[in-house]
Amino acid sequence: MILEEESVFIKQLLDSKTQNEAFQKLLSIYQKPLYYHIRNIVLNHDDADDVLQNTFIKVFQYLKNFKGESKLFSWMYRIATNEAITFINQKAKKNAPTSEALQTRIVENLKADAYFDGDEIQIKLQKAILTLPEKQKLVFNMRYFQDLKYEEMSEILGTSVGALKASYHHAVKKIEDFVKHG
Amino acid sequence: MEDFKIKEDRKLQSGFKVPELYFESFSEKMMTQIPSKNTNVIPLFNKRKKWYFTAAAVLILALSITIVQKMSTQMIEPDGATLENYLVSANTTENDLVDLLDDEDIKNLDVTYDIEDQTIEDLLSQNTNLEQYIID
Repeated sequence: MILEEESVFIKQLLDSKTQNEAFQKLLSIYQKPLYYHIRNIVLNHDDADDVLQNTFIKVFQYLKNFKGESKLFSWMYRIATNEAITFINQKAKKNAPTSEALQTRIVENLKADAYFDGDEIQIKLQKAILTLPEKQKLVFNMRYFQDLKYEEMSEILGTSVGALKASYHHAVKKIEDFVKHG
Repeated sequence: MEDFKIKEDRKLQSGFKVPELYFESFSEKMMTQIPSKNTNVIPLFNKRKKWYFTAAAVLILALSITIVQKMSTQMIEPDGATLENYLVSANTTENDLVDLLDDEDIKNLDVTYDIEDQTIEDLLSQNTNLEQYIID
């Protein structure tokens, strides 16, 4: 969506007369990419569903505060990222010593997960991603699975394009090593 | 395991899938959670306003009690003219007044007038009701 169109769209979202229709449009455009972004972090479908709902509720609540300093898409992705990370950390506090331990447990059980239909190599890839530091995990998922541009990721994560490229490069190397030798 | 080259090999999918019709029903589910801004909900009882009204009522009641108590302890002494006017307007008779007098009041009324005989005679000659006073 180009900037002018986005400005008009935001006005429609804030106007009570056009809000419902505009919000339905927002959902139709962004529910899938946001869902998969969240799912890549929390791994489990039910958790992703919860976080996605929370994300859109927050988007609705805070839209009036959105200043247009970034694209609407970047702002929503940022909310989704924060919600997903907060969720996984809170879940880990209840069930596992760390969020990494929790995610490892989930990935180990992926074969039995009704909402996972990947093969051995895909399971191996998920295990490899889990070995990455959090930032590299995010960058890799967003670049590899979601095809986001570095400029878009920079707006979402608040990291420079150069740093993101470097993160991605290191992530790729580690994953390739893990899959080959792991 | 074989070499896995991310940049060269075919791109892998995450393997994550969703229940059937999940995205189709998600929008509908979300719209029920979003509060409608089209209806203005005016609360019947605004808790904060209720607190204010309660506090105001208590204050008014306290002030009223204080004022009433103060008024009841204060005796307003009317002046002589006001009292006289009241007695006339109330059609108070001499007998009514006498009933209100006690021994102390009567004793205070006992005054010795030092009036010359000529003055008395003049007063009596001017008074047209003289006979009536004699009869009474």
